[in-house]
Amino acid sequence: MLFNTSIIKKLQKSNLIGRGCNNFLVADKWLSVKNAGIKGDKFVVCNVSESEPGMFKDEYVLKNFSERVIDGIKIAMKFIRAKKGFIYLNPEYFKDFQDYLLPEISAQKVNIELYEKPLHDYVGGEETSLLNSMQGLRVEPRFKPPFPTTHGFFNQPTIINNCETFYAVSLINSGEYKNIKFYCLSGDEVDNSVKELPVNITIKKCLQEFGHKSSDKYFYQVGGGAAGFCYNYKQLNRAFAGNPSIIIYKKNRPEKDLILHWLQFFKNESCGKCLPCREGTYRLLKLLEKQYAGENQDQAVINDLIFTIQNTSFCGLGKVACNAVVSYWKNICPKK
Amino acid sequence: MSKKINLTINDHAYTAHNGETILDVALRENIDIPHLCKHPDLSIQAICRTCVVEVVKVRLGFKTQPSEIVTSCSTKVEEGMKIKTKSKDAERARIINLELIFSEHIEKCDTCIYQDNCIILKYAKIYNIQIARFPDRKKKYPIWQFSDSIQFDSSKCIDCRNCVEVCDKMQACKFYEVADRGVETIVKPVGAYCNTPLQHNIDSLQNDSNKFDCTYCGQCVVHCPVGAISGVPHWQKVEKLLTEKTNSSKILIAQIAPSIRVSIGEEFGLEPGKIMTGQLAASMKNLGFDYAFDVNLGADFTTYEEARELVNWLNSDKKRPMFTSCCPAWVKFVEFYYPEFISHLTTSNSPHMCSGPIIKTYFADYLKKDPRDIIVVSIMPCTSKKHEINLDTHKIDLGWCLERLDLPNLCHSGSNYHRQFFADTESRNKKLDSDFHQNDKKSIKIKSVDYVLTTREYAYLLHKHKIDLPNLKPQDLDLPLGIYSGAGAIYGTTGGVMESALRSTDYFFRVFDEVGSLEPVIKGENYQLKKKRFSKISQSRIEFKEVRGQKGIKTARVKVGNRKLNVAVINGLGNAKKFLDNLKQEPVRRSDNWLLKSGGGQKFDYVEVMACPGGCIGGGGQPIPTNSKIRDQRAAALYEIDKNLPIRTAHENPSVLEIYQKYFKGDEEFIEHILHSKFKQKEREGYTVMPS
Repeated sequence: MLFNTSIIKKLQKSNLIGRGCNNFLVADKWLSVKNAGIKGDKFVVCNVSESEPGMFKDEYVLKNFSERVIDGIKIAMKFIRAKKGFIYLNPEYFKDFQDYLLPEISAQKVNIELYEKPLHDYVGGEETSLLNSMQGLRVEPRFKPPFPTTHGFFNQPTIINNCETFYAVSLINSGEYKNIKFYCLSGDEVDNSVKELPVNITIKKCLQEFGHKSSDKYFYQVGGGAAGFCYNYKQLNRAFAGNPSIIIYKKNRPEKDLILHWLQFFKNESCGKCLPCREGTYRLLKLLEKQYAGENQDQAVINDLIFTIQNTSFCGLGKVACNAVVSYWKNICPKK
Repeated sequence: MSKKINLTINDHAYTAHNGETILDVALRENIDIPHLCKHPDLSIQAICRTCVVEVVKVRLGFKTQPSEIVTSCSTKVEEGMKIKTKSKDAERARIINLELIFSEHIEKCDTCIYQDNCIILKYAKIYNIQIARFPDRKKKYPIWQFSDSIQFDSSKCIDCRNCVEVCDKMQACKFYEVADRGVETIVKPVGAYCNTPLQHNIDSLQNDSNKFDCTYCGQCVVHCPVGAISGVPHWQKVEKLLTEKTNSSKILIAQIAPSIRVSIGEEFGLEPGKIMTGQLAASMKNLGFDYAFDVNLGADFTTYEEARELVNWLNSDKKRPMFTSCCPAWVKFVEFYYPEFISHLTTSNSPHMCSGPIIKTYFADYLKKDPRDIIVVSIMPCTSKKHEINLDTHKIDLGWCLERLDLPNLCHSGSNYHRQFFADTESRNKKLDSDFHQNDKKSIKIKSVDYVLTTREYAYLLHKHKIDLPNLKPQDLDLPLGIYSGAGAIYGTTGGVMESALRSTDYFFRVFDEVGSLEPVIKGENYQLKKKRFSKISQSRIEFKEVRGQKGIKTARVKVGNRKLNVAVINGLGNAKKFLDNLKQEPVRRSDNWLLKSGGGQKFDYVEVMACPGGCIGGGGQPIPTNSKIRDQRAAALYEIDKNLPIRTAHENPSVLEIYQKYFKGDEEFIEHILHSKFKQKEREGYTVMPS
């Protein structure tokens, strides 16, 4: 793959948006890093944390397109003159894809190091927590601003992008990009599958492409198995937002199992730094456990807890922690 | 001149500077926004989330301006921002967050000395929150104690991490760590295990916990917003002694540190820096103490001994610099972290470790009382003093002193005390059989100070016994151990020990140059009176303003006697670490700016180190809150006291001179025993787990 100095113009023309969950224009991010007036080294990090349940597209990309991913990282490194790049992998992928990535790295003669996440956790996928993890600190988020583009790895300007983004960059560079991205389908009565589909698409169309007929027998969690919203079959004509993942649930799944599962997930994954998320997710879980065991709880307190976690948490984990339960109660099984 | 920003808070217009946060502006304008993890000494954490407000930012080109809830401590002000501190949404979230705080803070209010001054109780009342809405989840959490100084009750910890930051970043001890994650997150001493229902006993994240230890400085105590960390209480024991006084033969003596008189007013609602010496003396008597003495006098003894030691040090080829050692936290820091500098510490005791032994020898003699019947209570701005009084090197060996008392010039031949121990052989053998035999002399070690009350504990006792300190009729402190000089008074602030020592060193050098030795000094002669040489020797320099100020590391080149000395004054253990690390690298780097002032980065001759920011007035036992503005106010008051005193040098304090002349009488061994101490490298003392 050839290095092309007008990569930034190509990125701008393509309007490429990052394939992680931040929805940021790649060209803008790269330019911020390039123009960051901070002395010292700059770095590139490829984020393959993929800790959202129901997402396995990064796995698919690494398995089938390692070459392009390394090429994309190389392009980024050359653009900002970074001497070193990292690929940040969850423990499972680190084990599975070393043999795909390491040969590519040496073949393309680029200084990239593979870094294994110490724990297969959720918050470690967030970019500032990722940096803290790599720096040997507690895996907790930092303030934004400043952004990793200016204060990233050891407070140096850093490009952090999802591995599918680097894959797309490589395609853009060689003129083969077709404005598509990968979507994941999983759930009841389907096999896990990944498909390449247009960037702008409705949920309904996406399901059709996967060969699924939506009906009242199911409900759909869109945006990931933890952070995603639950929609019923009438609400699928909206545009896809958030993580490109749909999980199909049979409608007769007991409410208790679902709600407690989602609450337990966030109670487990809270990093513990800020009060509302650390205490709130724990208390919410305890309250709903009691409720489903038959002891009626004060609905106002539950609503207040949800409000506080959503609106006053330090980072995005808190913001999305109640998406599934709130949307489930609103759209699927309204609370009495 | 930074850019001015216009904004509104609760529909009132204010101006702010670029770079300020919403909370900065609110506090400046006396608008109350609750906040717990924010402390002006520390970096912004924004993790307690109680300071939330609702803001509308101006977004040009947008029709609707959405509002959002943000933490005011971390959000910078922007032009045209509209802030509501009491909006429905902000209050809704704040109430839940406060209730969550209480769910991780067990309420032990009845035994807590902060109960009248507790910020979360105050918020609870203002916001009508239900303290018990969520059940306490830290019921079985451990209480850790560090020596006899500091107690960390982790069942009250709200995980604000102020202690972790202050111990790591400001004090360079790194004794606390945050371990585990999520709701199992726990702040604990490095290396401690926690066996509570939620802990998974995940190994400490610090691999080398033996490399870190507590120096008892107490900065964690004064930065904890909820009193989870406190000084080990001595007030109950002292209170018991006071109430049992009528039935016992004990003499109870209290002595106040330099810093107390300018800080205790804060515990009664007064401004920091209000001088309350007279009221303190009265309060000590009201509480029931027999004598009210002053550690400032002890400070004069420390200065006298330390200046003497400095002159001898500088006249020898001992390795420089000589470091002060009146701060027990600093001494522990050296003994544990930098033992190679132990030989650089002055052996002169800290002020209350001078006045304490003098009370139990000289004053016991004066009263004709057995020193074991005298209880000395020091009132200190400090938590490390609670550890200091237990050290072996600070105990007085009465057996050894009693031997000394055989010398005719040291005892009152007609005193009951003398008679009791020496006149009557039979009763002597009967009474002292268990303690002291003539042919088989045993040592009778006693503590020179028995208890240490922090400023907070003392104020708590006063409140408890309804003694309204500010409105007491001022009294004088008692003679003979209540007279002090300005040099003693300024010990409480960073630079005070240095200035005090320099005042006397200047005079001692002149004496030495005249006489060829320091004999007149050891004999307690008021040399200028003796020689009637008022002009030359008595005109020792008083003020050394170049060593004053709150800056972490100050350096100066001063003239004392006929010498020029490179001195440094350090406050905060983090700064001490920087200084020592730099000293260890020979030759000294010229690139560090703060070295250049002392004459091109040459070797230092004399260095003062205080572990706490600002010196003792910022100590671990002081009233909460504490911040740099408050420390400034307290320090300024001390210099004010000094300025207004007729005697401003230790070597002119009549009580000091009298004791050297008539009690010590040049007996250097005796002076060494009671006014000097030894140091040694320490192993980790760590923590003990207290029964909850």
